[in-house]
Amino acid sequence: MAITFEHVDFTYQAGTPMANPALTDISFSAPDNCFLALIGHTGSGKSTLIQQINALLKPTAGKITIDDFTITPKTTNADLKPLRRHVGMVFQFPESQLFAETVRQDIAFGPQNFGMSETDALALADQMLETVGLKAEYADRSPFELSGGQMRRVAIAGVLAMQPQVLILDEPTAGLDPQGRQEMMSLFGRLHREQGLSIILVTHQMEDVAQYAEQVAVMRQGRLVKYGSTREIFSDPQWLFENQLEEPIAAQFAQGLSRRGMTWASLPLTAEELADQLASRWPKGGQADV
Amino acid sequence: MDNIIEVKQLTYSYSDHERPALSDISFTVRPGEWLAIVGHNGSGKSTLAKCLDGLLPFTEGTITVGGTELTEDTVWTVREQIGMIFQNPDNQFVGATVEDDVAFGLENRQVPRDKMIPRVRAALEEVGMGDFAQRQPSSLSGGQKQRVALAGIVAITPDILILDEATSMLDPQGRTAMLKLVRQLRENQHLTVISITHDINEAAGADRVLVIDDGKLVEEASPEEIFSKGDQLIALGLDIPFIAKLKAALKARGIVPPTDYQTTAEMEDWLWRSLSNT
Amino acid sequence: MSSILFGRYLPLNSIVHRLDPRAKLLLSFFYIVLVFMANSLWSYVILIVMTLGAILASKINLGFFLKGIRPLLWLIIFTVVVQMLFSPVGGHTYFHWAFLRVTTLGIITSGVIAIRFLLIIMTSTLLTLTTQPLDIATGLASLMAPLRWVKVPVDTLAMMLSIALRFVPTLMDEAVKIMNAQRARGVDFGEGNLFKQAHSLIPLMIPLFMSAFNRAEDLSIAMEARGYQDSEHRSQYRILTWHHRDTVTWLIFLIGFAAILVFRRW
Repeated sequence: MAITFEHVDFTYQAGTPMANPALTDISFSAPDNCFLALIGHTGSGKSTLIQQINALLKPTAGKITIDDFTITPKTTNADLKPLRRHVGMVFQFPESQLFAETVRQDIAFGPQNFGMSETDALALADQMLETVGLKAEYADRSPFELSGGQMRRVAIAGVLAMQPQVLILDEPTAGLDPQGRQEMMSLFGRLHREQGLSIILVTHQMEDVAQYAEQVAVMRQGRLVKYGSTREIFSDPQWLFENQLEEPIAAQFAQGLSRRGMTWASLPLTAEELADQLASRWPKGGQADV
Repeated sequence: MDNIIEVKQLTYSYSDHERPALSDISFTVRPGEWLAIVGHNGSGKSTLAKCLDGLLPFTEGTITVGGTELTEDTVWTVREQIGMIFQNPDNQFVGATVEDDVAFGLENRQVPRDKMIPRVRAALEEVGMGDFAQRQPSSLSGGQKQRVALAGIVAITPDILILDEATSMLDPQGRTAMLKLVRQLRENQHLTVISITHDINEAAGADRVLVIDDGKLVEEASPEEIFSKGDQLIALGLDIPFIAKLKAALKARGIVPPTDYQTTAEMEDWLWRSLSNT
Repeated sequence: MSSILFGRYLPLNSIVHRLDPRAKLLLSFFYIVLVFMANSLWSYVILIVMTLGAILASKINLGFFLKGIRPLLWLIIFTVVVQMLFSPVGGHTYFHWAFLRVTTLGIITSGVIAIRFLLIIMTSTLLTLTTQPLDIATGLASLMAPLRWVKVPVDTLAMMLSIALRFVPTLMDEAVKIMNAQRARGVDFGEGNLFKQAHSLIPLMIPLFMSAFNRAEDLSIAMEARGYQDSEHRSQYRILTWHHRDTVTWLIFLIGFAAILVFRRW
């Protein structure tokens, strides 16, 4: 699903003395089947922006188009429910949304709200459990008996069960250990590649941006200050530094070599890309003496 | 000088679990040392931290802090020497305002009010939160709340600071700032620091690293030795350092990098020499 | 709902804001007692003058203030109508149907009730608008202190109140977050019949309770780690100081109170 923002403004508590503008004049267009990373400091408006996409918050001005759906300040709630089925939302620490007696029932909750029969929804739940990498034996357990990382997977399965075409992820790996983070990110990478899911990822982890994202949007103080391909965004170290955004470690390392006189076809963003470029110019005979 | 903490054959079981959360753990900490304790989620490292502060009643083994053996009778003497910061910034903020929160520990120790006021102010200045004394927690960021928690510890001047994944819920800026602050406090207040963490930068700054897996102490080494394990680190609950990732990627392309631990600068040096050596 | 002012705090710098919360709490208490004792025209005039004077001194815009209590007007109107129809019979009967009748006495009684209601709402709104919740809690705890002699755990109650106030915004944020997460999963809050609405609260309330329990557990561990044993053996950082302005305010109000007692019909 292609997503287009046209001059979107959003103000919290608009029209009251407490009015607080959170988004100003946001315009961009993300293609269908995108993997868009949304980066920027805490409080820059990232979380507000993603809540516009499934209309949990409606713009105070401007227009958002998601395939056939249009959201304007006048759109009514009744028109929005079908949209919410297509746009799945994984909030920060999503394990806090679990409530049902069993894992299976919790995962089946979303699809049933959108009109799926109980039998179908429960069957789908088992399938989703497998997708997120949990054993079938967890289906009949209480979600509150699971570990934090397992609960997070159940919550994500509950969103995937609505079979959305766009998946919004708000810092989905926060609080997980490195192994959990890695597994979680590769799950999203797989869903994007194999099922063609459009993904919008809010994150502070530049390594994940470098490895997974295709497009990057940079937010600052409620404005979209830069939008482009991942390579374009990371190609300007000076700009990143001025905006207090970290570069991927591979890019930092490559620049260390640049200072000694090395040139790159394009700035490597991951260890793999760096190794590729190094290997291509490695002296014949393979190994240098140490 | 004597060890500030001695742990001998510590075993702890939660009542609702069959397997012990900690089994037969022994180690010591020297005064002024920075010790990192790593392990994946659920490995028992937070349980260990809580045992050290007498927050969980272990049944087997002994813990000695500053020469006092931790028992039911001595638990408050032991806690006098330890300041602890937990993971969730919200759930340890007791006071209704910043200054009330910093004063909480002093109130518990029945410090008279005229002595509390300068100590609260000094502690807030020390962590760079002097201008926030009247603020309420809901108007602070996670990083600022953790700074306030640190001020609460500075105010009671303990010898030992335990960070129980204290930076894991912060954004990268908050995390870097917090680590810098802890280093500075350690200098100024001569603290012994025990940090329980997944963060490789936090572990890298330590003098020594303990690895806990399934409730057992499986490794005790310098950060360099631990980091030389490369891609095995992920199973130990740490990230793989970039240099280790790069070495693995080079190896996959038929380039054999040196096997011992290397800093970023050393690796850069080696690559540059190899490439210019045509 | 959001236009109701009662229970909110409006940070301004006025004499009313700076008064000791104990002075304000006690004044509000005696004021309410006097509202129920007032029964003559002059006693009400004095009460109204005192209320308006206090609002003016608080620097809160009178229009803003009245707008803020307007949503509560319906409650007053409802009470007045019920009172008018069911009140004791007396004087001229204007309207009569079955056991319902509107009489002169009924109109006067309900008018008096409306004024009392309005005055009490205005004063208590003014109290919360000018006093931070924390100060109200500290003030209450301080006023309850004598109850220690009859073994009321005043310090523990004060600690509980302070922690509860501290966590109100945290839990409100949490509730909004969980509600959004469930709306994203297709829940319609506040739609459908009463049963359906109550049912849709389950996915909100269960996670909220779980979160509150987890927080409480974390908090108790953190408090213990910071040396908290019990509420009695602690010193106090936040104390209240009674200033001259508090005494002066009390004197002014005492004159008003005395005047009301003089002008009421005994």
